[in-house]
Amino acid sequence: MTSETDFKYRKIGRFKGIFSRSAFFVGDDHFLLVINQHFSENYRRFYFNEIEGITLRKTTRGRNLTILFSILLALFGIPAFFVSEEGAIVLVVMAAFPLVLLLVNLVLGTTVECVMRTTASQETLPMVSRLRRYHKFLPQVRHYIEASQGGSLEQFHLIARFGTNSAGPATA
Amino acid sequence: MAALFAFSRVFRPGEPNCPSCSQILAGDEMQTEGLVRCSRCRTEILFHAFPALIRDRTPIRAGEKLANTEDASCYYHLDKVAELTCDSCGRFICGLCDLEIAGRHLCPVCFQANLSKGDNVRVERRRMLKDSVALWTAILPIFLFWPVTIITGPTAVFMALRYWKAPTSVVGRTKTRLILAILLGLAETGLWAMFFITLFNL
Repeated sequence: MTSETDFKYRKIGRFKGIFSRSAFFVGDDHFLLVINQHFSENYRRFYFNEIEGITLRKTTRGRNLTILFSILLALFGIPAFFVSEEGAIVLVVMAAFPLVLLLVNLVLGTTVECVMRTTASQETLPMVSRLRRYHKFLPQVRHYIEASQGGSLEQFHLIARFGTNSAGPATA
Repeated sequence: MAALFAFSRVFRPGEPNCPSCSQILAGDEMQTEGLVRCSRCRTEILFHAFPALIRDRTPIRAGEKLANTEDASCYYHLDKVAELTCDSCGRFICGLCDLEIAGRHLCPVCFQANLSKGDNVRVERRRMLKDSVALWTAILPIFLFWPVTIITGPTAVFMALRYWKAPTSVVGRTKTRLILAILLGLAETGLWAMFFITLFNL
């Protein structure tokens, strides 16, 4: 019988949402994605030798947040120039919140959706939601995967297999 | 919740595709340093590939057909040759029925039975966190409808003691939540006891 103590996991990433939290762990021969929903946990395993790739797609969430916070900033900030001093102070304080959120959003950078793809399935990784986070995440997972699969893949291998945009897929 | 586990609507092993339009990616669109635009939908994407993508796939073992009636057959597929026995129940099984987990070969029935008992941690996909249930049983009624704590307080204590040795998270957890549930439950129960004692004394 396999017991829990047989597996030691090390956390390498986490995400905290409103309704759920997720964390990414590395085990002896696989990664473990844990989605915590307060009273239960869902697990997804990615065995090192089955991972085909990691896909990233730029999303519009960052841009939408920028627009939202800018609108809120304008809503509270612009009227501050046309009201009394007391009113202006109140509006400026209220405008400070969207301003801070806007700056944080800009500093955090491009929003992305990251998916780990295996030979059997593909799963979204909620903890990799920004491009900057991805660039820190990839080196952490790469060496486990490449050590298990016997090395890395160069682009010319992929071009030989899948061709290029102009030439089309190469024949086997 | 389903959205967390859904990405591209089309998935084929060995065929990396654009997550937006499912166009199969060309070799020069992968392993790039930065985001590149999909040739079809212009979505900015980045695909980092690993050797498993271009590796030849191991064919699925479907089990060998039974040619000689004197050979042992699979318990679940009478027309297939038995290749080995289940490590749990000892039944003869074919290649298709063989489920290898952590070095053990199990038949589908034993595999499912072990999964239900929580013996197969490596393939478990969901687990209830009984320590969290006990703790929230103690906490939640305080904010929602506190008179209910006359019931939930002792219940939380009972649950915490009942599930003290139950497995929690696969990644490991301390007993903090259970201890807090017991303390809170005892506090609630104690307060109600004091209330009733005071009431009867009056």
